[in-house]
Amino acid sequence: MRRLTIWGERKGRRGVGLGLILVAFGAGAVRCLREAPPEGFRSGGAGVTVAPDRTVASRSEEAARGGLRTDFVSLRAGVRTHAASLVELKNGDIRAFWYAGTNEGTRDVTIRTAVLETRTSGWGPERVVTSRERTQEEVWRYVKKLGNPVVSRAPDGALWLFYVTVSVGGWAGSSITMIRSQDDGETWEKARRLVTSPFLNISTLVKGPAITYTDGTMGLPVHHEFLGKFGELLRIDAQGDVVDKVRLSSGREALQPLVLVRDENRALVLMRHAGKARPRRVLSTTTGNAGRTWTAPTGSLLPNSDAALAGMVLADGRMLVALNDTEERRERLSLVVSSDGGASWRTIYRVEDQSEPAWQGLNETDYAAVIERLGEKTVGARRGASDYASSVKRVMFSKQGNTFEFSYPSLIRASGGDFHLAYTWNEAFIKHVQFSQAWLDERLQADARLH
Amino acid sequence: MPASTDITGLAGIAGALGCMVTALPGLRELSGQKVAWLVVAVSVVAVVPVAGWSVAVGVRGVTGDLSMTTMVWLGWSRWRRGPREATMEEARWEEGSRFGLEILIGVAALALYPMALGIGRIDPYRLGYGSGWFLSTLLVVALVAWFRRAEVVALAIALAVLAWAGRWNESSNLWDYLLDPLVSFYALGRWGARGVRRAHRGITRRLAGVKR
Repeated sequence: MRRLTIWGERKGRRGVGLGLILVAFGAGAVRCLREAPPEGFRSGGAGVTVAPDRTVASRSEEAARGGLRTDFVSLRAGVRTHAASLVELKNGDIRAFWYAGTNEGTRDVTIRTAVLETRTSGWGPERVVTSRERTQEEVWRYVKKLGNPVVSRAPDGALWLFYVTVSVGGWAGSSITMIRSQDDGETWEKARRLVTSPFLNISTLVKGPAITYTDGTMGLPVHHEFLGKFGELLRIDAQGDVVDKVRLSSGREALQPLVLVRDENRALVLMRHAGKARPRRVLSTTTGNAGRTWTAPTGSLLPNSDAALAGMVLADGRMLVALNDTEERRERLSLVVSSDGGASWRTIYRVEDQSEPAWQGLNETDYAAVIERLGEKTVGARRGASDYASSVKRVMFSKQGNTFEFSYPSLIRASGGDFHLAYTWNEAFIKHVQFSQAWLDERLQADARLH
Repeated sequence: MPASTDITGLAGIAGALGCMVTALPGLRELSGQKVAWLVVAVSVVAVVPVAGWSVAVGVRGVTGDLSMTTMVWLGWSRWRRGPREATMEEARWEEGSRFGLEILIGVAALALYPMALGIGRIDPYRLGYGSGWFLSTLLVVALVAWFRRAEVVALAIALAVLAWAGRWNESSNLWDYLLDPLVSFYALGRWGARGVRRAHRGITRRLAGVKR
């Protein structure tokens, strides 16, 4: 009798267990069915190509008359400032994000923002968006340091700011945290961490802006730099959940992918060359099926000094890219254009160029004088030129001596037609360059060097 | 107010810390009820903030959320019958289940982590974003485990799938519900320990043979 009871109990328990398995997998199957692949790219991703709004055309005309307009976005002196990211606001203003602190990776690094107002054509005061402490409180876990911010506008109109957070180790231990704003960056919802890697969620970083798919999901280009250095494209749904990802490369040589969407199915990805092979060239991969598969990466004709790129596809299909087109160091920042889908490139303008031998090995006095002159060239005599020199000397001299660095560009086109380029200026400030379509057309027609 | 996934994540860490404390020497032989109280007490201490900071928050910063497999294993290790209570048949069954779970976790970890972190061109982690093939394979493994009476294996897989379907943790990838580095290192460590024991036994036998 007792044996029969035990047999009955076991059988009942096993029946419940089998029921649990079937219920669990039934629920799993429902979730699988919901995760349908996207139909295609929404062209004009990467924060560009919105319908021109003629109400803000006056600035475009002004930029066309004056050629380039330049200014500094960040104001704080004596801090290391890096990794700008731009977005156009709904009223036509431009908002920039970047990070700054005593040094790269220090605990006082904060994500900061400022707005370029259409009305005044000047950058407003900078303020803190988030800090290590705030992020830590909001994601309920220890956070050691913050890194690159990247802003993108979601299909629902909200601003999404992705930024790098590290809990353990160096940048290879990074993960991505995300915050959202429904009021164009005035206030932000609580931070949430994206889980993108199975091993302690380490080794995912972000630099390039997100693209959008026709189903309303977003594609965020990211890279890993732990065991491998390779690019990936994350697909993120409207709730901020990662619903898929695809590799853009493998091995140990590609970082910071930039996705240039050509149409609903075709895109070109350019990646920073971080490998040991020479010559150093920007790596590129393409898709013809909306990102389901990507070609094996190959070296393009663009030189690259292990540095980030920014770019966009113009309305006529040409591609405009800002990059350090040198194989060593980041002393030159150029605008290049491709008319054949990335097969060849023409340099149309040197935004910054301190790469000539005359600028190498300067003593401290000469270096300060050059920095002062470059600062004055950017903003005129609005600010004491020695401020720039002392700030730049503090961060650059401690880092690698008297060198120059113009890097980590972010490039967008506003609805008024103007282009906005922001980049790290000697790791001490964020510089902004604005130019019009007319200025660009003029440069495109001029003789330029073919890569 | 924390999000629901923060609550479940912190609760998982706190519960795991509680289970680990009860495995310390001197506490292993406690009765089931006492173990339960100790787990609850340690868990509460782990989540209570001191100066705005708690042990669970600190640990979560490093480990992330724990998988269902870790939770099932820890729970099962704590509340299974001790060697004195279990019959020989039950003891053999438990050892078999434990071995099966270790094998599965070890194989999965070796297949997943190196490739997901960049060794090679294939990324098995992608399968965790709602691949029908992956889910079907897991169903087969769970059913085989169930009918071979490796209930712990089947239970760990089923609970992981159920938690993933219900978005229990902050990850949207099924792999993160099936595996985490802690349980993987533990399983691989036990593989290593078994290997060392077997090698030691072989050497001892061989030496004994030489002596004869």
